[in-house]
Amino acid sequence: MENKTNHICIIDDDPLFRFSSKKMIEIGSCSNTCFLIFENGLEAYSYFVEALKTNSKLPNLILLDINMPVMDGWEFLEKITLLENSKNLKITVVSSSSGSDDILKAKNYAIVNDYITKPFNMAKIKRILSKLKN
Amino acid sequence: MIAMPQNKNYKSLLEKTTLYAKMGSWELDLKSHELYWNRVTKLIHGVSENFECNINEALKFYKDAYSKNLMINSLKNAIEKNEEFDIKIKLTTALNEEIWVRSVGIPVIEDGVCTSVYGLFQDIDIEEKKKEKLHKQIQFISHVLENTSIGIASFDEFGHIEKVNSGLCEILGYRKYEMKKLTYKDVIFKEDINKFLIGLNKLKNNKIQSYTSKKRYRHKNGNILYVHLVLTVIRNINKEPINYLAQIIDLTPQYKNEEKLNSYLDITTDQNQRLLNFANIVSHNLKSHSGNLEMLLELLHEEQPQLLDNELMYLLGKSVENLSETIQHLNEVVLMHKANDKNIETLNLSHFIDKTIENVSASIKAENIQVDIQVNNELTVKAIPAYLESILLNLITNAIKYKDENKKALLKIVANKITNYIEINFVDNGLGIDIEKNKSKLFGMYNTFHSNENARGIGLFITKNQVEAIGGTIDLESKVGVGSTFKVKLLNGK
Repeated sequence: MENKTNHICIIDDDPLFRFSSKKMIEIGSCSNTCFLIFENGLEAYSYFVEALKTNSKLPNLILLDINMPVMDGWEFLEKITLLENSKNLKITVVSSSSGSDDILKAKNYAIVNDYITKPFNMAKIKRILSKLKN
Repeated sequence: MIAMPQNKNYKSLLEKTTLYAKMGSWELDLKSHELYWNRVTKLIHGVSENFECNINEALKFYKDAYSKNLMINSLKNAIEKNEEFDIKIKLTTALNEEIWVRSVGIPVIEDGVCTSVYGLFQDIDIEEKKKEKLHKQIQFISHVLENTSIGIASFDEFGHIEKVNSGLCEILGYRKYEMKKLTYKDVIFKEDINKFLIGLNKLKNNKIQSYTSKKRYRHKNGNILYVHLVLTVIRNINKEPINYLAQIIDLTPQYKNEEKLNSYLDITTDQNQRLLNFANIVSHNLKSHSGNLEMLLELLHEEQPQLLDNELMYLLGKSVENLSETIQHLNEVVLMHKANDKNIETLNLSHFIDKTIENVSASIKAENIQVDIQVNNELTVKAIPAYLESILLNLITNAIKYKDENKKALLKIVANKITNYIEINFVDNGLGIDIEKNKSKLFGMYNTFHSNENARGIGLFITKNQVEAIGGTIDLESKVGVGSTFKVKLLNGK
């Protein structure tokens, strides 16, 4: 299983964050990684509507930002949970908000299994990736 | 003397009549100087039936000068000028009661000379006293009517104004004669007339006793007035409405004040909201940018570790670190003000103080500080646990950090109940702060007062924000070279 490919989805409007988190994952990961990248909730939502319908391969991990234009993270979570089979998605919320209200709100969604505050660093990346292996 | 009919029955009937009418008779014989009073006259004077009277005695019943003189002059005129009289005077009875009486006198003339004067004597006290009372009441009412700032008007069912007082003229800006040409339609705000007519109708049909309402009126100059109106109906003896009485209080100044106050409140609420939004946006966006900087720097280190040897890279790293820390603090403060009541618990103060002292026991020992805690272990405060820990830690470490190296350092923590608050005093004998000089900066962000290497200037700022977020206050008394006392008031837990 050492060489299995990780499919990681990043949903974030900030190009710098997308770039550096992708890079950190590449550095921190010992296996191959495929990235699926969206700039806002709507783009991602449209993709997953199709993917769930056609039973396509789903990412092992979805990193979801909260504050985004067009469709923000909350709306994305709200809409995606209404879709059939959406419980197969594994979402980690990544936000710069460290407020306990936001953390509790995120954990109320069954498909959210983690909440990580920005910024990323190698230590956080390694923790996320080690969870994936298990 | 009045000629008395001979018939005995008739005589007794007459006597009864005079008794009911409280009307007696009298006669003064000028030849014999005898004064005759009949039974009723004696009764009115309050003397017994066998009372013997003469003119001098009779005049003594008039105590006040006006009555006495009038009686004497009337008699004199009757005798000398043959003039009849009919006067109202005050008499003091033998029982010492002051009563109003009517005295009628008719001179009898024989050969051009007055030989006697006879007349009637009537107790008119009840009528006079009623009149007096009525007069007083009318005066009272007219004084109230003319001097009150409440507007009062009466009008008929067609709305024609019959009477108005100066108060109403003052409120509406009209003169009295102008008011009398108006109807309610001219003064009540158009949109409010229907409601007024419904009330008027209910009053007319006796469905309500009085109609009270807030209305808009028009001043003569066209301005809107806000008034409180009380309407009642005046009925005749047959309970039919004859006219309506309106009492009007001008509430315009109060209304205007309230409006002003509300607009200030709106502005303040709006500004607070904008400030909070601003703080949220700033802290969030700054955090994103500084986070990105941190991430990029870390990636740079991963990919080009040789850059670590460059001093500029090291300084850049330090700057990014400081920036992130500042933003972190800013975020904490923003979050603090969003703290809601549900997180506030009742906490045992002495327990929390002991725990904090234990956490810093190493530095207390190292700095050789004598700690004296005088806190009753029953005292409780209302606080968010994490805030209380942070407040205590900040103030205790503050005393440790700014101790005076030339003295044996002391820290005393005393707590007292003051009405609804618990006041906790942190008294030290450290360096102290020049309060006058630093007044505006004491609890500000990033202000330090000593060149202590550990001073970051954030502690007091955070502490103040935390104290205020849980409904408390913080104050400082301090003197350079003597020490500082931080006074923290938190809501009593009980």
